[in-house]
This record gives sequence, C-alpha cells and structure tokens, in this order.
Amino acid sequence: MRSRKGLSTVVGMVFALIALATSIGYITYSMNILDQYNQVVIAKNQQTIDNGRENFQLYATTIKNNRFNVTVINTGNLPINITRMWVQNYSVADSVNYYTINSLVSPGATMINIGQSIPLSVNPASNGYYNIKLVTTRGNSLQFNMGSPGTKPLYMQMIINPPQITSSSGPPYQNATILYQVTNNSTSNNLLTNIQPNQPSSTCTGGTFTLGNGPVPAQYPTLPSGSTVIFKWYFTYGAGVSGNKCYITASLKNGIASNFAYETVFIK
Amino acid sequence: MKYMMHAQRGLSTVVATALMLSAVAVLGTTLVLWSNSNLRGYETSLATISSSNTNRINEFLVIENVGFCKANGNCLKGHNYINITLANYGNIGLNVTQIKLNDSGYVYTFTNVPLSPGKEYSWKNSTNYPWSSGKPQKIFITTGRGAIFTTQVTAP
Repeated sequence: MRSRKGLSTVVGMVFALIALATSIGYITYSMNILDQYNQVVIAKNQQTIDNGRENFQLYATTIKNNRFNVTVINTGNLPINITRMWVQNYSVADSVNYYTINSLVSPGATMINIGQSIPLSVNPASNGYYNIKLVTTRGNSLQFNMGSPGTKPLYMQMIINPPQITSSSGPPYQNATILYQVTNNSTSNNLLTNIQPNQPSSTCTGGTFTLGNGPVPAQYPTLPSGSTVIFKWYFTYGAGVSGNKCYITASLKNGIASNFAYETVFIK
Repeated sequence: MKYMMHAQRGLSTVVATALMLSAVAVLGTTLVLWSNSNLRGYETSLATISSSNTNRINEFLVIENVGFCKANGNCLKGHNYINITLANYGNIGLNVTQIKLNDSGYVYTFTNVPLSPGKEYSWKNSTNYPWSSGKPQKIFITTGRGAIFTTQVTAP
C-alpha cells in the first residue's frame, strides 16, 4: 500500500511538472515575443526622433560650368546621407527627373558641388525655372526654386541722387547717380539667378541726358529670397532750363516687361 | 481459504488502483494535450500578430516627390494631374494598395504594386485632378499591411 501511495504521488508530480513546464514555456515565449516587439518599437521611436533631429540648410546655389552647384550645410547633430536630387524644369513639359547623389555630410560639415556631376546642363542666360529638391535617407528633404527673374514680378525701386539737378547751359554739367534696387520678395525658398539690368531709358522735356558707364556691378549671379541687390549708374544732365524734368526707367534682362522701376528728376 | 480471501481482497484493490491510475492518467493526459493545443494556438496567434505588427512598424515608405502638372501649361496628358513618387527606404518590401488625395473622392486603389527595399514607384492621375495653385494638398498612401503614410504639399 505504501508503494501504491508513492505511485500516485509520482503520477501527480509528472502531470504537475508537465503543466508547469508548459506554462513556463508559454510565458517565456510570450516574453520573448513581447521583448522583440518592444525592440522594434524602440528602434522605430529612435528613427522618428532621428528624423526630427536631422537638419540641413541651403548655404549657396549657383550655376557653374552650365551645371547646378549647390552647397548645403549640416546644421544638425546627426550625419545625413543625401541620396537624390530631384529637378523639375517648369519650362519643359513633364520634365521631372532625379539624379543619384549618395553623399554623407557630417554634423557641422558643408557639402559643396552638389549637381556638378549630374548629367543635366543648365543655361544661366535662359529663362529656365527649376524646382530642386534634395532628399535624405531618413526621408527629409530640402526644396527650393531656382531660375530666371522673369517668372514673378519683383519689388523694384529707383533712387536718383541728387533728386534735383541744377541747370547748366554749358559744360561742366552736373553728375548724378541712379541707384536701381531689386528685391526678391518671394515668400517661398526661391533663388533667382543671373540678375542683370537693362540700361536705363530716359525721357526728358528738355536738355541732354547722358548715361555714363555702368551698371556697377554688371550682374549678380544669384539673389536669394528676402535679399536686395543694388545697381549703380552715373549720368550727366546739361543744356536744360529750370522746370525741365527727366523720366527715367530701369528693368531687368529676362525680367517681366511690365515690372520696372522709375523716377523723375527735376531741373532747378 | 484464508489465503484465497486475502488474495481476492488484494486483487480488487489493485484493480481499483489501476482503474484510478488509468483514469487519472487519461484525464491528466487529455488535460495536458488540451492545454498544450490551446497554448500552441495562442503562441501561433501571438507570433502572427507580433510579426504582422513588427513588419507594419518596420515599413518605411517616403513620399519622395510630388509634382504638379497643369493642363494648359507644361502637361503632356492634357489634364491637371499630380505625379507622386514613392520610395521604400525600409529593409522590408511592401505593397502599395491605395492613394487618396485630400480626403476627397479621389481614391485610387491598386491590387498589386510591390515595392522592394531601395526601389521607387511613380504614379500619375489618369483622370483630371483639379488642384489649385497655393492650396495645400494632403496625400495618404496605404500599404498592404495597413500602414498609412501621409504628407502635405502646396501646389505651386
């Protein structure tokens, strides 16, 4: 009888052990699965945080050797990998292309010559207008427009110094200065290239208006959003009488025809 | 006679014990098998849910570029459309099943657009989509695993 009692205990123990082992196995498996899932969530969370911390800015853009020449600076504290450069040419139908860049930029470092090695030729003198986008492996992007000033009207202003000129019947005539100011008033990231003015035109009620050399400078290669450039000319006015006036206008080459600045000079 | 009685009493006890042990063994085995089967089912279910959720979380689709085309401008199709380029920057493949524009009736469903890691896919509206300059456009991309990727772009 003693030995039979022992047998039932052994059988009970066997079942108890099986139940315990199964439960422990299931709990361990569940914990492992949850741990793996947790690791994935943590990794995704870190990826999202890194996405937000990635930060790079446009430092300069020009057209060099008929190719884009973009410089960006990594202002964040994570290295970035610029994978592609998207270029949409608004002047050509359905012209959206991308070019592989695949370059790493360390935190605080500057990456130059982006666009110099891609097979896309750009004529800075043309009226081309481009939308450029740089994309990173984390999915962030830097987008800006670049092109001719002839796409949208710009803010322009003309200043004549001095505003009133003393009449003179003979030489030496009085010199004066024309300051032609052009502002890129675009609210989006819109970079204008090849800013070059036409020679100012004048209409006088009397006397002689003679434009000197200029403009100074002859051109600005780029004009970023919110920036202003100033062109300067010298002119002389003579052989007029008091009460005459000159109406002077200036505009940009490749600009919109109706977009110009004007000023009137009075002769005293 | 005494020996016979003793022997018969022992036999019934042995039989009863054997029956009890058999019953316990059968019941115990059944219980263990049933619980094992249930636990296997739970394990499989847990593994499936975990795997599908993990894969969904690991999907990394980037709406890399959105181009706008005007019918009367530089558009080849003769109507307004949006050109969306998607890139899979993740390490698992995915299927694009739906593109929805602006919470509107412009929902485009796909049956099979697989996108391997590192690959991209470009899509244009085949019918007119009336986008307006300066107005933001919301884009929703749904994948086969149910992940939704969104972005907002302003039409030029």
